[in-house]
Amino acid sequence: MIYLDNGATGFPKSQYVLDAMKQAFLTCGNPSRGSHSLSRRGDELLYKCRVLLAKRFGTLPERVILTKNATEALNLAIKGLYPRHGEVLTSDLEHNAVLRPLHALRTAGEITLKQFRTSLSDDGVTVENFRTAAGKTVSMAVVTHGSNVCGRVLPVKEMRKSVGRGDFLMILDCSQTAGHLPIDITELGADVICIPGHKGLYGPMGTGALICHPTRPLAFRTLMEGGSGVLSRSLFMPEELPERLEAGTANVCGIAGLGAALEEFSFPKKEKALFARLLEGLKEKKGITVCGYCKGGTYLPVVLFNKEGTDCEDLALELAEKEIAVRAGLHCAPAAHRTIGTGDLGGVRVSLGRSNREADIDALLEAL
Amino acid sequence: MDVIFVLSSVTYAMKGRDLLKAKGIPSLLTRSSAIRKVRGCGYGLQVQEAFRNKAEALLKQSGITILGTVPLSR
Repeated sequence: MIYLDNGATGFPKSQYVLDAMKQAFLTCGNPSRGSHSLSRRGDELLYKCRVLLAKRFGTLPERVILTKNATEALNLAIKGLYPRHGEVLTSDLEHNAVLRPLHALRTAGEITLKQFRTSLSDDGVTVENFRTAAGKTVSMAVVTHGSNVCGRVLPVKEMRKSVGRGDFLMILDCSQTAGHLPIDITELGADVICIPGHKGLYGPMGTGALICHPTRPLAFRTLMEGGSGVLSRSLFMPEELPERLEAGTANVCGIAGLGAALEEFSFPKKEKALFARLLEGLKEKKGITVCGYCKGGTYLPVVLFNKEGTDCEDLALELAEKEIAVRAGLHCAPAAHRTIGTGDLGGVRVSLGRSNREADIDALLEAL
Repeated sequence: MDVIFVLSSVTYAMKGRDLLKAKGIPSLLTRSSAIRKVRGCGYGLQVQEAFRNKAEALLKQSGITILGTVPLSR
């Protein structure tokens, strides 16, 4: 199998991650629930994962909320922090994990939703569009750090800087960038970043995190309430993070795996060279159109393309029959496809990861 | 006699434990009836009386809120 669908989940995972999960499965009790050694072992695994995530993304362990994926993290952030009857801004490159919670709030009459246009050819235009749309009345923005459809990385640091107001909240969807780009939450000017554990970080599926700025006060409403292991006499969830947003028993095995993945993590070294090889190879192919790519911008190792006369799903199926894994369709981001110009057609997405080699790119090009 | 610093969560208790350890102060993460009286259920750090003042100062300096200090009841 030639795996070129790392935007969906990083593959293959390592034996080290599996061993950590197995160890947790066999040796852990319910964390934060008891003083016996099995429960305590679960506590230690959760805390270790928080510490590692905090170090990687520039915050404190207690500001890391462990979730089942980036979608849960985004829902917790968006629905927990949105300004009641206020204005929220988002981009035209978003995944449904951002758009659907925002749409739910808009249809419930809770927010007014504004969208700004990104520019694939000029980051300066994106920043200016963001600044203009934010104006003086928008109090929260939810924006992708990098598109899951075309891989374009948005200039989020400059965007946040362009809105000088201190009370402006910025939530970033780092689903595609985590593990591919160095991310420091303070450096980016974000209040909250949402990540999956299983894509660029190569943890197990069913893991993710909501990561909060180390010092900015964030008064989260809760989406779920339940046992937290502390403050049991109260009918309210604890005020303090992370327990405020972590009701019920944690996914200890998954989190142990994510902790192991973070321990062995390093940024892929060959990604840029492979991306360039892929891009050039596709451009040289007759009948292939690369979509959503503009020279000069910052890109993740993700390429969207279509083949003349062939539906993208049919092409993906043909490739699957040749044991080449790609992803076709709208990638849960129809708005982004509209922006790129593939709203009707969709496209075939190739997303590279740490296991890919030059031979994989060549095999894809040959198959096309 | 040892004392228990009652903290807001297991996360803060572990953070505090690691912080004290780095400064050479031994502590024990604990749940006990003493904590239950203050918090319902909760976590604390058990510290020897001799380290009490230094540990308290270090925890506070690091932004860890001490909800109560109770003598070890056993």
